[in-house]
Amino acid sequence: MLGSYVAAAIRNLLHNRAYALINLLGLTLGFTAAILIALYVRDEFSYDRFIPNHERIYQLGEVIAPPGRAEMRVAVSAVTDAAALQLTFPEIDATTRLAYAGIRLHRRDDPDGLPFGGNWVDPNFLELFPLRVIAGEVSNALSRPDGLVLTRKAAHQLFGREDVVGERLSLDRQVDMHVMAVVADVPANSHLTGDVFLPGIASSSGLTALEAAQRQPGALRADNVITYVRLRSGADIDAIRARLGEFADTHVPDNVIPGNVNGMSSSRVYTFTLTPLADIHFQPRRMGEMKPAGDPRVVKAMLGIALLILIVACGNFVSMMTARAMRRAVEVGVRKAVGALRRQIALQFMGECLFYAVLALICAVIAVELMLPAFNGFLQRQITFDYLRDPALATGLIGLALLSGCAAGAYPAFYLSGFKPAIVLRGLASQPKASRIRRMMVVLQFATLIALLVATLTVQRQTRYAIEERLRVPTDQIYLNNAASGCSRESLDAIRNLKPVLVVTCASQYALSIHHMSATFVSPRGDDAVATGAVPVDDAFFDVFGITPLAGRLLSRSRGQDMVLQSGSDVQDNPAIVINESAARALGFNIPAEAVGKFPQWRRVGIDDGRIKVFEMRSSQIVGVIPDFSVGSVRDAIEPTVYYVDPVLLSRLVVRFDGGAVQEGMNAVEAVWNQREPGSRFEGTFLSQYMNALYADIVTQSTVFSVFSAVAVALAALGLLGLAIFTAERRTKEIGLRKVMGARRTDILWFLGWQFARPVLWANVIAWPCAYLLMRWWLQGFEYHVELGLATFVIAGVLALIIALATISGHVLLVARARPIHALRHE
Amino acid sequence: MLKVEHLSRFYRGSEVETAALDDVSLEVRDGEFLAIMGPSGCGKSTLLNILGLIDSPSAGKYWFLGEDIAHFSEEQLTLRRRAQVGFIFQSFNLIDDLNVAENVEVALLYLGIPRHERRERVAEALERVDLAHRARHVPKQLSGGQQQRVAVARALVARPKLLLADEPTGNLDSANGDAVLELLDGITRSGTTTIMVTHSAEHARRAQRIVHMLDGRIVEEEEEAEVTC
Repeated sequence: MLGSYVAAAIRNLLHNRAYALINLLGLTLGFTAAILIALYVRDEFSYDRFIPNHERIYQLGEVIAPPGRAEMRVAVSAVTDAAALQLTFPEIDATTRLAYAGIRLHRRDDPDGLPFGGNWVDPNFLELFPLRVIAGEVSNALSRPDGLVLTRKAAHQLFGREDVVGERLSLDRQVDMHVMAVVADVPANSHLTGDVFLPGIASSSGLTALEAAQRQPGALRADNVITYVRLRSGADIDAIRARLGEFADTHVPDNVIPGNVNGMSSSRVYTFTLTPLADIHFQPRRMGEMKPAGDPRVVKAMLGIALLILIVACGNFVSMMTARAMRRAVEVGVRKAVGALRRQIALQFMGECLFYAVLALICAVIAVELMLPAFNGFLQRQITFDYLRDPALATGLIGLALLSGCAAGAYPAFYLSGFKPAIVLRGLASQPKASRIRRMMVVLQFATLIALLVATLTVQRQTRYAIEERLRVPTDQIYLNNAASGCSRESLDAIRNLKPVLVVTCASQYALSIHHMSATFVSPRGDDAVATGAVPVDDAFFDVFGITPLAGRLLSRSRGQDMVLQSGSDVQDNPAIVINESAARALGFNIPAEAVGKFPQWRRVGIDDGRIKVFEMRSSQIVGVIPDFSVGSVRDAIEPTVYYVDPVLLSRLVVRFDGGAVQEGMNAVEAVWNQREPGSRFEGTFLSQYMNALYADIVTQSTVFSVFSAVAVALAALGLLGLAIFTAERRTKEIGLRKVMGARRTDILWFLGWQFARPVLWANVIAWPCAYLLMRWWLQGFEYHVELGLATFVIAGVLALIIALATISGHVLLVARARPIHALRHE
Repeated sequence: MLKVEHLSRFYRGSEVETAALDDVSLEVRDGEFLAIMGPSGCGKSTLLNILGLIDSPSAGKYWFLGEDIAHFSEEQLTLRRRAQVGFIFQSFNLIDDLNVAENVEVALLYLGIPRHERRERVAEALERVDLAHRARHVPKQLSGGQQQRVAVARALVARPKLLLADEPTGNLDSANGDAVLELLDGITRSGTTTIMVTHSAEHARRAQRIVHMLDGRIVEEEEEAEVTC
């Protein structure tokens, strides 16, 4: 019996190639997209699970909530926290720390060297985070102050080979180091990054330097290392968490928190967190993360898209199978007449659907194999597709085919097996009620398509808004150069005089949202202090971005009160300030103009005698109010911010070029820089690249949405094409009669076009509210976002209509042009 | 073999109820060759479908091989039909996607007959209708007459006790029609009860008894003696 079923299925497939191809192509496309999305989602959930004992390893983090300000989440902690934790909590078995640093390694004969992401780590780091050893010995590699461990990638970049143990390298042309081991690259599905592991115990180490600074009396607490703890087996993490408040009170001294002015305890300002390794990837965005965190909403959205694509693909399948049902009616009738039970017929058709599903799965697996390298390249992942050695994956794939086959086959099987032999064998059956279900299916498919188009358009608008519109400046003409030791006035003047340079300034990392610093104002209401962000800049900073004041003026080199810290007078003096609108409101001013000329009391963090300090409360004048503005992420609210000139904290040269002469300008600036600042390398990035990195996840989401929406569009179009062929075939006689009765070709085109346009128009009714709710939810994740205008929905609806009509036009035209005599002979 | 009493079949539309069969009573003996005649829409095919267990009556009684099956479920009817009834249709109703042998074999698939025996019986049936040489052809490659002979082979191959033929010659020229009638004669002679619906008086005369229908009722019966004279 099975042989007869298989024979019927295969021959049906061969005899109806167009339909079979549409069915197969649709399912293959759907499966391919679903598998790729599933692999991506699986990869998202696999982060850091490859690390042995990962369930016992936690990352120390902080939630800092200074009074009067939004809380900050940070992934970094102080360099002294690890030792304090181990002393306080006997449940902790080991701690290890990591300080990230951009480094340059030079081979003996290479004066330029190569840049790497380096990690200064404790000697036991690679014991907690073991990476496969390719060469050498890692156990004591980082116990030697001159030892370092390279990843395979770094070894290849430096030496072009892996057996490099014992090779000598110069670190930043200052310290000689020896390669102790080569390990496998850090997997992409890890929160860790970096190609070089350096010994934290070295005197030149970032960890050593930070430790020394932190241990000085009165030193400010600085969060700049990543701390991990490993618990003993069976230790209760909740018990430890319950005592972290107490730990904050004893470990974080009151006097080191700039916002802590009214006797608020450390534990109210500092909340320490311990995040399991496997959960780090999905933490809300935190400052100091090594990699942008994953967004669970994106994962959910991706799963939703995969499901929608599968539904559309299965919907196509159901439509096609039922549309072609009349062709199989005789077979059903005959089989029933000779004694087949309904369930036997249903099983036959289910089997046929499963046959299609398995065939499509095989095609999809091949497609995924072919596409995976590009997919990995785009997502910067190392997703594998080893279904032969991964039983869970293999089961998942088979499950996908079986589930989809059953889901797609259930209705056709139920429908086809219900044919009455007494009717179909006499050729009396008309197109039954399934046509209504088919129409509903088309409506649903197009509703999905329209919703995805709305989502894609909105995601793209938001991406463009985040990257381009919010700054309202051409970001690709602004270059940010590292200037760790500041920019001299002479260098700035020389660069300013270069022809292609429009504006040049020196800014702090805080101005570019790379790091965060606070200032504290005495509250005008006399209650808790008002904390704001503090952004040290140069006088020309606002000119780079074309910012004009809402009230008052901008900072100026010619004003003595603005340049107090430049002149070298008392370092405790506060310079004149420019504040943003949010700060003006926070300080109790109703309109910006009200703030100008006022002298609030405030204190800031600065450097005195080479050490970071919190200075006394002093007053200085507000000279201007600017609109809220930030180079930071649109996900974060722009907080109240104060801008002032403090040359000591400036560490980025910012140059804006004339759009037509960017390369020429770069060369000229580099020449001046190298000549005037020989100790500081000309090395940086364009603001556009920086912004792209900042929004890499949004750009990826946008592209992924577009690609998978395109898949859904293709699927919906494919389904419609199939139905167009079927409808035209079924209505050939009707069309012939209409032509005999005098209908012109255009009348037929209108008639058929309307038949297909109608479900698309209905689809809008379903799609618009769903898409509205979905995209409103997505946009709420951004503090600043585009509005969901009616235009997006109308464009999506019109696009869907165009796609529908374009898909069917060829076939409809063919039918409309046919001579009526052929149509009337059809039956 | 079978007996119906006061059999009725109604079809309900949205507004009207149509009686396709109205109080029909009939008995068919074992091995009898019965022809049913009447104008289009008189209920011949409906009666044939009920007798062949692919439709159920709205009212009345139906004894099939001694069992009252008028109110049997679809599955019960299917199980009885499977072993006992063979069909031949005017429009042949061959499955386009299967070849001749496979089309014939379909009638044996649901009887649980082993594959080798199925093959033997299919070959035998095709031999009987003189189409053994066409076993691997698909229906489209055959003439109308040949297709109907395949349908006859399919009806025979399960060795049913009752053979129902619904205008088996309706789509054939006279030569092919005669050939199919010859086959039916042979089948009846071998003991199979045959009921044939036909418009052709000439073909009906080959039957032992002719039943005339009009408006869903049997209006006249002719026995063999009357038919032949």
